[in-house]
Amino acid sequence: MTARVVLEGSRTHRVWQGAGLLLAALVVLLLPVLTSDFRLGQFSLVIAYAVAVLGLNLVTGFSGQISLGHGAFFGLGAYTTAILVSDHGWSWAATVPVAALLGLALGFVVGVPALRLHGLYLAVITLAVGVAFPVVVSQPIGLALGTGGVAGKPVRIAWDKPAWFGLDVSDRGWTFIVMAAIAGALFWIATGLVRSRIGRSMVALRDNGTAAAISGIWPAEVKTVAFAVSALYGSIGGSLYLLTTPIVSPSTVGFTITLLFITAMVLGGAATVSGAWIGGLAMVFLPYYTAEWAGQLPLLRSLTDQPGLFANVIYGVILIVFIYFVPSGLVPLLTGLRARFLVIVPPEAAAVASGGSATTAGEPDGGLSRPTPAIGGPTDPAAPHAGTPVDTARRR
Amino acid sequence: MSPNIDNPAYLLQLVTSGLTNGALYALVALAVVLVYKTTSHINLAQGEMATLGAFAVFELGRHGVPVWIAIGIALVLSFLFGAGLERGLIRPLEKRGVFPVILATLALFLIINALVAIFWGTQPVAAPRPFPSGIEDKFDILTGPPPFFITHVALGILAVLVALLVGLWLLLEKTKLGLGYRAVAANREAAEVMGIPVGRMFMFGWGIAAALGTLAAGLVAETAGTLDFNSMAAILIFGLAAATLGGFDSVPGAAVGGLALGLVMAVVPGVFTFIKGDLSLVIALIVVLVVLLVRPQGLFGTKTLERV
Repeated sequence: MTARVVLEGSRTHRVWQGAGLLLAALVVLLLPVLTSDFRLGQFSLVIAYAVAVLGLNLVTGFSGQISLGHGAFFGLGAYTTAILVSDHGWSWAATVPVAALLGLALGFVVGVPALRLHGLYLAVITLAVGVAFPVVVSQPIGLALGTGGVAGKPVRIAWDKPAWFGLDVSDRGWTFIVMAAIAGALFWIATGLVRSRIGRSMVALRDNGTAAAISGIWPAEVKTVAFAVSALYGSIGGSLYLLTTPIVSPSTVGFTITLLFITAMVLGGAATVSGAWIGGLAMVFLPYYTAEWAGQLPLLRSLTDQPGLFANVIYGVILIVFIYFVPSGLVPLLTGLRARFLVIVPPEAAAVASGGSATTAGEPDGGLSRPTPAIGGPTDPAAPHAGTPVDTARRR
Repeated sequence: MSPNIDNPAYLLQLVTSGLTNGALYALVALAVVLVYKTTSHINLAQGEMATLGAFAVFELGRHGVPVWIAIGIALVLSFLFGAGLERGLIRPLEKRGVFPVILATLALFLIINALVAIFWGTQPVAAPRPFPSGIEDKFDILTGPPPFFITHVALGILAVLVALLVGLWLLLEKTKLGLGYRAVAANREAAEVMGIPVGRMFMFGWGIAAALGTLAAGLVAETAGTLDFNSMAAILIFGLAAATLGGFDSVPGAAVGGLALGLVMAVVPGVFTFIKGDLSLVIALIVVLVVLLVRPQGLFGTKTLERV
């Protein structure tokens, strides 16, 4: 079967892109009309989690730095918004820039040691941040700031659908649409970021730090920016979370959520932007359906009164299965599938391909659509998960 | 500043409690170091594996097994579990670098943590008690006020740490197995060429580490009085901090690092009483940060050079 080859940036490509965006917008507008408020709450939570996971993708997937403290950034955003709204009467929208800036600052602080440390040491230090955050929140110092201690900080944010909005949706639906718009903008910015000079520098540093530094990339700048932006996304994710849940407590932002973020990142594809959506979906629906399913099996039901624990077991198993068999995640797998029908080639690569040997049906893109490497360095190019045939001929 | 600053009994009490806690951190740090020395990986599930081991002791005790025999059985089981995990789960990822292994240990963390909570519940259970821990089980040294005394539990924990260090030293320095282990730690390729079964040494390191962890979790539960599925989460951080302080590849470093960290975390809030609440995790974080920025290889660790 011959795949259709489309030049990146060409008119056909733009049409495909436009159609995709239109479809996404339609789904966002139709969901509130078609589904119940309960489902909308779930989808809103997907958005909040996806934004946070995207932050982790940027620092770990693209820039190759291990971050085990993402729950702390998420919590920082959530607590900032909760305290400002609840105690100081701010509007939600006004708290987001504050949360984002605080996240940026904390990410920068965590990112500075990252300049001298890599791998395991970075894991240790971010792990300590992630475990310490929920503890500090429930200590006197946190109480003085108004965190509400172990019980958590309740916050009530209720939006009414404005009169000018034509569609017949509930207030919950309106919140969902606004959240989707914000997330859309954040994902658009992230896409631009990873394609920018900084983004390409992040990937270069990940793949070979020394070579990248020799080629003129300043590691200090790129690494701290990656950490700071990651924390910013985590923080905004936390603020968005409060639009779906009226309370934030230390147990919400504990180390477990960091682990779930990491699983979600690996599941969708660490070095992808859109993988964060798959991660967000899994974080919301996997525990929900696991709990439902475990509740129906008498054997499992008799074991514990907290069916959420089964979901954690499944998360762990998913993580292991993906590390072993799908190390680059689901999105590259899907991209590989798409490449059987539609291949998008950057113009420069197309020029090279036509200048050299003629592209054959088996390798229409010169192997360019090969999945992005897994975190922690490039994977074996001949790995069996590669959706497209690997062009061994060109490598010889 | 604390008003009791010039009271010897108060200070001595701070020091003993610091050293007792420090011994526990040292045990966890030793486990971390024993894994790291040969494999260059950190097992982030070390704490959860330890909790599982402590629950095994608890379960055996519930079925009427005397506590020391239960600990012995749990140690053997932990050793086999740790060695098996290394062979079955970690080894295949070995060649793929640091990050996949960390992810795998995080997955283990999630799974073991949840399974322990499923099988033994989320509520704390009464800890198994290897040492006499009644209110009268102590040696009075200064009759107060305030009095200064050392509990049997504290003495027992310190004795366990000393015995372990001596045992480890004998095992690593005086046996052929230990020689092989040290050879792999010093130079993996050279050891392999010399015919040392490198893989078995990895398993040995993981197994010993898991057994040490179980012992540590049992003693942590003993000092706390209770045991629950999250008992070891914070202790793991302290153990990692201690290992960072002492140097990730140094056995004596882990012991010294643990004791030093315990002392710092007892003395700092005890002397500077304006620090309200339990900020021990923050202190550990600061210790790690300072060590990594000033002397990344730790007090006793070897500096690694990166070849380009």
